[in-house]
Amino acid sequence: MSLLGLIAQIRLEGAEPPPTPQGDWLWWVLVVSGALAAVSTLVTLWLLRDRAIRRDPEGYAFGALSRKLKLSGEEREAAVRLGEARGVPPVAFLVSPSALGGGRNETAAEA
Amino acid sequence: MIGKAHTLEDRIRIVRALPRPARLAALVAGLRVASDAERERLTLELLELALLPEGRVSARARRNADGALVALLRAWPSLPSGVRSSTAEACEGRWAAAADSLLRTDPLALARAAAALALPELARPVGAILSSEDPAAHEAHEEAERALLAMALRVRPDLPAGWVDPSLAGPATAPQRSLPPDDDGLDLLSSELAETGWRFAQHRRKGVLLAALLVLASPKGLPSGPSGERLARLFSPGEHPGVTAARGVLRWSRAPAARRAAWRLLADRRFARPARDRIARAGGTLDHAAVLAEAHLALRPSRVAALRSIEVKRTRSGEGAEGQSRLAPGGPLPLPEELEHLPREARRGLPRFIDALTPPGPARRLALSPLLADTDRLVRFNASRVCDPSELSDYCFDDDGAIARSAVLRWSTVGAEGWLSSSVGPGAGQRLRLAGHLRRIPHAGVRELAPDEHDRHTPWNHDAPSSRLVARRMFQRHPDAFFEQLAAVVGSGPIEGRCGAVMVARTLGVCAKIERELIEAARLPSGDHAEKLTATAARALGELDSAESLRALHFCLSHADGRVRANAAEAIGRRVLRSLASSCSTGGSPASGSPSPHAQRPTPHTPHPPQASPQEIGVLLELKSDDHHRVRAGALRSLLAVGAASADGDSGGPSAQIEAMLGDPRWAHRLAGVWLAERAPGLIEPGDAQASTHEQTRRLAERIVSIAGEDPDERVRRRAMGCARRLLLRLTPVGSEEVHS
Repeated sequence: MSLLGLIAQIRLEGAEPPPTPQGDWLWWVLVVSGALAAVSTLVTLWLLRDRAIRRDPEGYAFGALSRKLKLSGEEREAAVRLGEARGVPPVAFLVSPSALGGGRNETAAEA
Repeated sequence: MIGKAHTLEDRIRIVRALPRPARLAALVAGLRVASDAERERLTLELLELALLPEGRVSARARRNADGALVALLRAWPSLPSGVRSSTAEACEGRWAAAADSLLRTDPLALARAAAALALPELARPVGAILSSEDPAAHEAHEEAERALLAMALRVRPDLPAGWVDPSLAGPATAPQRSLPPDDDGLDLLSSELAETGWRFAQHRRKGVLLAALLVLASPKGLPSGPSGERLARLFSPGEHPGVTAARGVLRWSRAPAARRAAWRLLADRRFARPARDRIARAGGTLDHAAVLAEAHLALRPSRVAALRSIEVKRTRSGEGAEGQSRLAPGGPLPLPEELEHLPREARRGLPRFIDALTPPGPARRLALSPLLADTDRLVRFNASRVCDPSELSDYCFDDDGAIARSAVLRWSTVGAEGWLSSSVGPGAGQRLRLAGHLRRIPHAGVRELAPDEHDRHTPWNHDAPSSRLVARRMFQRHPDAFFEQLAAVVGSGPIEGRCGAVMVARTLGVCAKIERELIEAARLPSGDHAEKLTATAARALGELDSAESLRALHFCLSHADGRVRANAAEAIGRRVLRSLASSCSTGGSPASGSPSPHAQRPTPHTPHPPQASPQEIGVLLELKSDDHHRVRAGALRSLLAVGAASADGDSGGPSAQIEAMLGDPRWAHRLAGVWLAERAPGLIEPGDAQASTHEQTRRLAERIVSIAGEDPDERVRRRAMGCARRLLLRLTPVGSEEVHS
């Protein structure tokens, strides 16, 4: 029987763990290994995110801000195009509300 | 607008939730496109990222904060000016590390930020930029040069940025100048400037040498350590690579700040020659202002000594000999047309600077003359203190009373050696006219001085001792001119002046020289205050013995004015007295009348003309009863003098005649009687023991004393009081305590 099948059987049938010494040992192995797996997964995910941020902080900020500001696909496209045209990261247009329409005249004209 | 529903604050809130690197990237990117209003807010967010928390800081947090600081440094030129100074102060001490970091990636941005920040701690990374031999780094070198100049400006808060480099004077490019560096900062800057200056051959940036020059001429002084000494050696004569360029910057730099530095370094022998060459040349108003605003430094003798070798050149604006002389442009002194553009402080220092330069007379006048019409009173005052004496008279009429008074005091001959010679010399007339004008000037302080000065140049004010001194000197040195002027003044002009001249003639005993003018004055018709002159002339005619003068005196005796008659009577009395004295000396006798107890009586007819005729005695006897008190007293005094007071048969001695006046119901006659009692010749003489025992005299004294206490008129009482005191003094033997008690 696999490990998962054993756990399912215990939970579904409400059966007590086998009172044998071999049964106690198996229980603790299951719990600790599960926790280690969860922590390592979280750390890995965090490291991956941190690496992604360090590699492209502007892109990360752009994505985060786009989501929070609930931008449409067209708006994202517009910011990217403008950023490429002016040599500025697209996130700049999400931070400054006047950058597109109202702030600087030339920027508004470009928008 | 993207995400138009969200304000800047909403977005910043979202950005704050981002991880620090993403937050930093978002803010830096936003700063590049933000409007002016948004940029300030974003800068503050960025600053918050750059600040280190208190206490123990992890390496990761420090790395993030340093990254924000580098971002701030990179974006510094675009930061709003309102938050720059607070940002610079908040991150003090960490800029050098951030600059080192930026030096590797973006030296141009570092140089620009350093030029704006102007922090001495950035001097080393900026110097490192100048060490780079990359030909593509030309722009970074330029910015690094500007950065060093901006740092030098921190040391010199007295200098406007435009005096060093016009590009530093713009509102966007102006460096931070709020706080001058401390000693460590100055030491660091001096060290780096010396190091960079010594590497001049490598970068060929003269701005570095100019920055070193500014620090060298700092009023705070150089650091005492080796860095200061090394900086000074950069400009000192010697064998090192930068000396020619460094001294060339001091000598040839067109920056007004360099001229001010030259003015300060002029006192130091090591820099005196190039500094003097720079002072001798000015390229415009700012160049002049740089030196003139600190003209007080000319108080130092070594500086003045160096200045004296500078030549002030002149040129001619027109053709030929008729061309107008003017200061040569480009010289050490500002042209008249440049003066109005000079700041007030500079104009105030100009007179002192001109004085220190000691230019020749014409150049000095050309430089100083425009200041006469300056709008600032201190400029005019300073100019009046150093101007040529020939131009001082213009300042005597200044609108400002203090300036005019100061000029008059300088123009005055009080205390001047040889003033008496100049007062009787050829130029005395002009000074006299000027002094006459000054007496009518609106300023009370000048009017107070002018009469005294006027007296020192005119011989005709008899009341002033200085005027009488001038008259005596003129009489001794130039008698012909003196008599010519005397006759002219007595013959015509204002009555006061004519009277004064007559009095001077009497004092000097030269009335005979102006007899004709005196006779004319004595016969003047009444009116226009001519009576005073007539009376004065009548008195002067008493000094003469001619028949014409006697006729004029007889004419005066019938004058309507009492003063004239009184003076004429006294004059006749003097003539009689003189003739009696002359007769006595030759064994003669007086004309007639009762004998005086103290005068030897001459015979009635002396063989030596002129004589006291009985007619003259008769005239005096007649005037003895004149209605005018002065005439009466004068005639009586004359009669008493010649011992003929009772010649008309009146009973009693001289004291009886006086007592008659003292008992007169008219107060003026009683007043004149008191006057006569004190002055009656032969009645009481000082220290005369016989007179003191004379019964009549004692009675007279008692009568005076009683008048002093009982007369109804206050004026009579007051005069009688003084008279009684003096009479008692004469009657009392010397040393007696009676009078004082």
